[in-house]
Order: sequence, then structure tokens, then C-alpha cells
Amino acid sequence: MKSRVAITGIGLISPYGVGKEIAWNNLVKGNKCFRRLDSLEQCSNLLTIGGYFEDFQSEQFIENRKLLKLMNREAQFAAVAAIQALEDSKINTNSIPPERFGIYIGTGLTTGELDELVPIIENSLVDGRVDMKAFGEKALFRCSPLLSFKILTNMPVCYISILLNIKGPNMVFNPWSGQVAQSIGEAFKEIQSGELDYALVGGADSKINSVSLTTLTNLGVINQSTSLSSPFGSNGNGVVVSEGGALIILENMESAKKRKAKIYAELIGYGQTTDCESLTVYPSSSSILTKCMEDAIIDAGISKEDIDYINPSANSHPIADKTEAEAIKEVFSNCNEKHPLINPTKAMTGDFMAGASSFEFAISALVLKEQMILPTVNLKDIDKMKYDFRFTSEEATKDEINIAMTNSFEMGNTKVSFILKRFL
Amino acid sequence: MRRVVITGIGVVSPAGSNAKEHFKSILNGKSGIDKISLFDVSTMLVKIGGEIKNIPFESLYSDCPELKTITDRKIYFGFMALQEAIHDARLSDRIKECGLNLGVSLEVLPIEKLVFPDSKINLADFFAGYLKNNQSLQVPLDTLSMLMIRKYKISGPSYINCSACAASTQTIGHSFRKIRRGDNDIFICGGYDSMLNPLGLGGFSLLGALSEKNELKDKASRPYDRERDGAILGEGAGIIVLEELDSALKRGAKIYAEVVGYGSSLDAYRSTDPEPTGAGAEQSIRSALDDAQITPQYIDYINGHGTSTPKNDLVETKAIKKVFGDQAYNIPISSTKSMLGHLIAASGAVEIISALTGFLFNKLHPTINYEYPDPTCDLDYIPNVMREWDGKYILKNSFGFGGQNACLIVKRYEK
Repeated sequence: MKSRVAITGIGLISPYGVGKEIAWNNLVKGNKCFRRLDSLEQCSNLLTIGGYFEDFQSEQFIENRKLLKLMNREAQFAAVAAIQALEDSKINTNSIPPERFGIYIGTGLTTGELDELVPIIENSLVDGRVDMKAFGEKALFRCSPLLSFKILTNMPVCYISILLNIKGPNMVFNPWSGQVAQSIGEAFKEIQSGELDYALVGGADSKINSVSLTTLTNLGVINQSTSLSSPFGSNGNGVVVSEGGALIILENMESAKKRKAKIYAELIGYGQTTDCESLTVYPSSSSILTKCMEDAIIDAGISKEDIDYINPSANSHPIADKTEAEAIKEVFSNCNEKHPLINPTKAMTGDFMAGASSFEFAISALVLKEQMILPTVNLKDIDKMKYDFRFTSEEATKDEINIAMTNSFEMGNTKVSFILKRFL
Repeated sequence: MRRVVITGIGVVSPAGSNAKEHFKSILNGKSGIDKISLFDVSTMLVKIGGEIKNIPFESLYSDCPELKTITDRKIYFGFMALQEAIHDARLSDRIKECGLNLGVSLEVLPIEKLVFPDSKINLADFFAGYLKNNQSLQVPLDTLSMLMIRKYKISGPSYINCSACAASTQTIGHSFRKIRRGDNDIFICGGYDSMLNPLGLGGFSLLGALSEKNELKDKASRPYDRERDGAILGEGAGIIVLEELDSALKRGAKIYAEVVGYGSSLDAYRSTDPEPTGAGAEQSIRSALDDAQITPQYIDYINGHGTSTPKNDLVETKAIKKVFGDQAYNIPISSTKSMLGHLIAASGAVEIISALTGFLFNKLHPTINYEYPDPTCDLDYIPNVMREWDGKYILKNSFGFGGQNACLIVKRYEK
């Protein structure tokens, strides 16, 4: 007999601010979180608009100054979201056996803080080349001995463990959104099978720096002329990069009920597929996405007609959106009753990259909790002939939503779908 | 309960470029550590490491033409170990349903290859321009997974584990749990890594984690020895094929051993040091024992984390004593890192494979360079010479940087 899994804590970080209230209130109002970025130094004209969390003040949330000094932006985001999620859940980590509380997260790739690399490279240059003799003699000693802490991708999990006193099973999943979604799915399976009782899962990311943005440009994911995030839209011409993410507490349902925890929703299904055909970062055919959603539906033990609401992966990249739309049609075309509502929230948030999957997972849980569907702000721009879905309206509305699906079909080979159920 | 066995292995290490060579070297106590030749280390604090010699580039290109554009060396030996394990397990068409679970630490920025127009640089502008023209400079973290997925049309789940020193032990433990639970039948898991690049070597040496006794060369890595003063970095790859027992029996696969327990934990102490009492490590060992449903007295050999750093070896010894009590003194322990150095994300998998000599040849490899007993590290570390052994249960420890711990228990296969 499988244990049921409850979502009992949510910590959000986004350009809207820190915390789930501020993000949720903005999303309900249909507010976008973008600003012009082309003047921002670290973007160096690689991006016109994006979601940049300008006044993020990590020291307001992380009291441990020594630790804070070691953390890059991604790690700070994840740590702040983790603190929020644990507080929200009201779990006291000291009162439960450490081996029952796991932490499975991802923070994307750490491209390294550029500021830290500048002195190393400058001090190594001989005739325009990085000279190894100079590197060893002069450059290394001028850089912070703590450089490695900002680069090693396993450190965020360690910082969070220290800040929150979580000592249980742990894994780090990288580099993209699909892998962070796996962090949620793997913990889900372990709680279902009784291997764990609690898990802190999800991730956060920041790609608003020139190295990451150049890489994304090379991969064809973003382009400098993109000025609108319009999933399934006629005028959407690329991904709008944002930063942020979500950390989430998953908990054994019995334990959650026993301590009378606030339960946002129940996680009931996890599907994942690996794209072995595509030669680019996005899938070449819809079949791999169809299978992913169908696997999640089977895992949840429901039928597709039960699904009321889908938060799609759709990120305004023409190919990615088209393929996902085809897959959704394939899965739901012969539904006897009404089709699920489609709600592409990246029109408001942009793409949080590695942080996208957990953020949208959390949003879907909030939709179920609040019984409130979020707006589709780019509705006018959507090509209704091509995408004849039932989109949510331009304004948030109260509605009865019992089952929600959220897709993570962003870049990379790993595709993930989740099914969440309203908790009554 | 479904049982999980090892049906294929592949290893590329400083001691050998396939499992056979590797086993021969480590049983004979031969070190793979020497002066670093990959780049000019004459002014570096640390000048020694465990390099992979003689990567057969040409034959790898003919096997996988996509490799030609890839500059990151760890992809090459990761690929070699994967190929060896896949062939060894004779997976043939079953490979399509396999899961893939690989540990790797970082994308490397090869600063030694950078050329700048002038000495005052705006790094942001520079990278924007440079990366545009040199797209392959920084090799994406999922490159090798993608390459394998496409080459073999692997449709099982694919994971990329970035837990640094504990990564590949975790990939094996995670895959083991998934097979036992019934999520999948076969996993190709392990890790590949190289920190032998200027930023990797430089970064770790700034932390003071590495031995600076360059003159000792192959004698510098001396786990549990009183004179140990730091780890030596190495590079390599270790891949294991894990399979559900009935699936393995049905296709007549060779069975190396059975995986019976896994546990992981966090020190939650400090980012720089292990928790001094060994509590985190202890919890990880106990979790693995509980998972295997055995008591401590069943363990017959421990393949240690044994990094050769003063603190890590001491804490590991304390943790072993806490779990095993007086029996700790009777359990042979050895550190593969004494011969290979620290392979970071590849270390756990390579070391588990190294421990399989106990089942394959009834021999345990030694901890080499053990000369001066440390009164605080006073267990049986199989000093310098391999040992005959007919035990049943092996415990593998990986107690990584940042306080991430993972332990596996592997058992001699019996019907």
C-alpha cells in the first residue's frame, strides 16, 4: 500500500519578491515581472527584457553572514526559498528523526561569479594569453580562497542543510528545469514507498549574467530582439529569461494530518520521459511529451477527463510551444467531457530556467488551494485557429479545480509531468 | 522484495584504462599519481595528481564522431567507461529501456585556452564575444548523457547528479532503490570527473584541501597515515550496470555482486569541515545498514572514503568506531584514493568497483603509503599489501566536501 503525499510548505522567490503571497497576489492581478534589461551591465545587450529581481536583499533572510559570503546568487535564492518553505510548513526539524527528512534540489549550473574571475584572468595575462606560470605565481593568490564554494554545484544543498538543520538523504539534480522537476518526483516516490516522511524539494536559478545568456543565445533558446513572453502567441519570438524558483515541502499524508498541517494539495502522479531523438534543446516530436503526460495520468490512477487545469511548460519559444500544444491535443482530443483549462503563466513570469518547474508546480498547488485560476495575460495574442484550447480568461476567476497537471518540457532531454489533487 | 545485482562494470582510472588493468594495478599497490603534465604547473602550489594517460582519441572518434567537437576530457573517459560497462553487461537491445544515472561535478571553464585582445578586460563583454565564436569552449553538463541517450536510443529515466564527492555513490544508491522499488529494471549508473584543470586544481589548493608535498609524488596520498597532509586530485570514470535479479538471471548475465543497502546524510555542520564527532558519517552508515536489514557485525570489509586529509580520515575512523564498537578493529579497511587520488564525482563508483576484487579474486586492495601509524587512526587499514579475503558484506563510504555523505552495502552474490 503506497503512502499518500501532501504538499505542506511552499517558498517562492521571483522578481515579484520573496514569499508566496507577493508572487500569488501579483499573478492573480495578471502583473508581469519584466523590466528592460539592455542597460544592465551583466546582460551586455544580450537580452532586451527579462525578469530581474533587482532589490533582492539576501541578508534580510539569511542571518548567518559567514555562510552568506560563500553563496552565489542561485544558492541565495534557493536558501531563501527553503527558509520560507520550512517556516510555512511549521515543521520543527529538531523533533523528527534526521534520516526521515530528505533534501533533493537543483540550482541549475553555476557559471561562477564573473567578478571573482576577472582578477584571476587579468593577473594571468601575458601577451593577451592566460599564462599558466603567471596564473600560479600571481593570479591565484589574489582571488578569494572561497572561490570554489561559489562554483561547486553541491554547495547549495549543504548551505541549506546548515541553515535549516536538515540531515537526511540528499541529492543534487542539474542542470535544467526537467532535472529540478525530478527532484520533486524522486522524493514523491520515496515518500510513497515509505523510504522518507518529509522532503524539501525544488530549485531556483538565475541566468541573468553574460556567460549564461550567451550560452542560451548559442543554444537558440533566447534572442536579443525578444520583447514579449507570449506562450502559444503569434508575437512571441523567444524565451524571456527570468530568475527565481520554488522550494517545496512534501510530506507523508498521515504525518501531515496528524500534526494538523496546512495542506495545499496532494501530489498523486509523476511521469517522466527521456527524449532520445531531438538534436536540439527542444523536442523534435510530440510523442515523447504525450507519453510523459500519459505516464503521469497512469501513475495518478485517474483518467484524463479528470484533469481540470494544466499549467503548461510553454515558454514562448515557437518550437517548444508548438510541440507541447500538439502533445496536449493528442492526449486530450478525445475527451468526452469538457477539456482542461490551459493556463500559460510564463506570459507573466518568463522562464525561471532551472527554477521554472518547481515554481509552476507550487503555483498549481496554490491554484488548488485557493480554488482560483490565474489569468492568461497574452490571450489576445494567441492564435486561436492553431491553438484551439480552452485558455483561462484574462482575469483571475474563482472556479472549482479538483485535479491539476503541470508540465516541465523546458530544455534538455528530461521531460516531466505532475498531477496534483485538491485536498478536502 | 526485488533484489538488485551488478551485471556490468567499466572503469578508467589513473591506474588503468579498463577494469582488468585497473584491478591488476590496485591489487599490486601501484599508484597512478605523478607530476601533472596536462598544463604548466611549475608555479602552482600543487604539482601532482592522478592523470589518465593515453586516451585513444582516434578510436573513440570512429566509435562516436560527435566527440570530435568536445574539448572537455572527462567526457572521453566517461564515454570509455560507459562503453566498457555496456559491453560487459551484454545489454544489446535491452539498453533502450535502461535508466541512466551519472554523477559529474561541473562545467569546466578552460581559462588556459582564453586569448584576450588587451590586458584590461571587461569580462562580460569578453565572454559574450568569445563564447559566440567558440561555442564548444564550455561543455554543457548534460553533454555525455545526451550523447549516450542518442547513440543507444535510451528511453529510461536520465539523471544528472551533482553531489560532488558523494555523487556517484548516490547515483548507484538512487538507482538501486528505484530498481528495488520496481520503478525500473536496469540502470547504467556511476560517475566521471576531472578537476585536473587550472581552476579546479587552483581552487582546491586555495582551500588548503590538497597535499603540497609535491616531492613525494606517488607517496603523497597517504590515507590514515600520521604524515598525511591533504588529498591529491585525480580524474577518471566508474560505471556500473545495476539490474533486477530475475531480469539478470533470465538473460544469463554475469553477476558480480548484489547491492543490498544504501543510506545518505548531511553533516549540516560547516561548509569547510566535516562534523568533528563523525555524527553525519555515522548516520549515513547506520541508514545503509538499516536499509540492508543487517546489524553491524555482518560487515567484513570497508572501502573507506580515505581522502588523506587530516580531518576527514580522523572523522571517518571515529564514525566507524561509533557504529562498529570493538569490532571496528577487526574489519579490514582500505582507501583506493591512496593509489588514484580523489576522483570527486567519479570517486565512489570507481572505488566500489575496486572493492569488487574481494568477490572476483578473493583479494582486497591495500592502502598504500601507510608508514607511520597515527594513534588516533588505529584501525586495520590493510597497509601496503593486498590481502586474501573470503568475506560476504562490503561497506562503501563516501563522505564528501560540504558534509554530504553516502554509503552503500554490497554483498557477495548467492542464489
